[in-house]
Amino acid sequence: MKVLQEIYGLFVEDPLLAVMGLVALAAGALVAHLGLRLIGGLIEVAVIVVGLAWSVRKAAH
Amino acid sequence: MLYTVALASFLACSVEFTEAFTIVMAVGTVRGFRPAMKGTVLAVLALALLVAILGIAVLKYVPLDWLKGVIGGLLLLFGLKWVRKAILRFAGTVSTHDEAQIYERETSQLKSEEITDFQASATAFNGVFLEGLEVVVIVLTMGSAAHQMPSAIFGALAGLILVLILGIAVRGPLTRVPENVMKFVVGVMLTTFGTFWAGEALGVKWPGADLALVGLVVIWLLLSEGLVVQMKRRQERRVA
Repeated sequence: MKVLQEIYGLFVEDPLLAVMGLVALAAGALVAHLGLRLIGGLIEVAVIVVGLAWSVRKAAH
Repeated sequence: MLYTVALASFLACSVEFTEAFTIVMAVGTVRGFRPAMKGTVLAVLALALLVAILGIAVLKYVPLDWLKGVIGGLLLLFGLKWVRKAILRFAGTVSTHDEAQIYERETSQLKSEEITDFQASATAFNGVFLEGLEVVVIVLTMGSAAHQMPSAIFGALAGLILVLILGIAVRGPLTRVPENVMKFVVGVMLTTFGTFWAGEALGVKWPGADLALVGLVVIWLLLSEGLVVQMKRRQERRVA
């Protein structure tokens, strides 16, 4: 169990940021599969930018 | 050889090896290097076994397209974690990583507990295993996502050799390794590769193909710098 916790800790420090990262990938993939493959990348990056900025500002409070 | 993968692997693994070295050094200084080395060797063997079992299971049962997406996603999460921590450290919200401080804390804790050889080996084992786990994740994710396993392994080995040479020469914790800056650079690189490869595996098309990597590095650098400046200003306003 401790090993699993350590592995989780390797990738996740702020669960909300991790969720935003996954949402970014899902949103990018969804848009890409609708045929807008270039826009998909843009949306992926935009969601990550928002997630990182939000996570950092939240931690600083 | 893909030099960007080798460099990212070298920097990231050097940071982890430095942290593992500090723990082994602390155990060796307090209780002797025999139990410290015993714990280290056992941890390396346990990691090798883990990689062999997981590697075979994953390659056998997980489809390759899924694997690329999952690995890219893990790389992104790993990179975001490092970038976030680096931003908070540079902004002064979180204290910076100090190898000398960690060494002092480890040695004083080990001295106060009057540990046996077995406990000393266990401490070294834990430190090397946990830091080694990060090395395994870095090498496996970067190597397989970029189809550049030799580059990732070369980078990690170069990091290991460098840390060992410096450590043996200094005979103490490597306090002058600029870990905070290295972690920031690696965080940006991992986030860039993760964004790119995971997106590609999920059907995204990047403008300029591989050149988009440069654009992503610039975006993450500018964002990080912007957030650090913003956090510092906010703290100054609070103080004033």
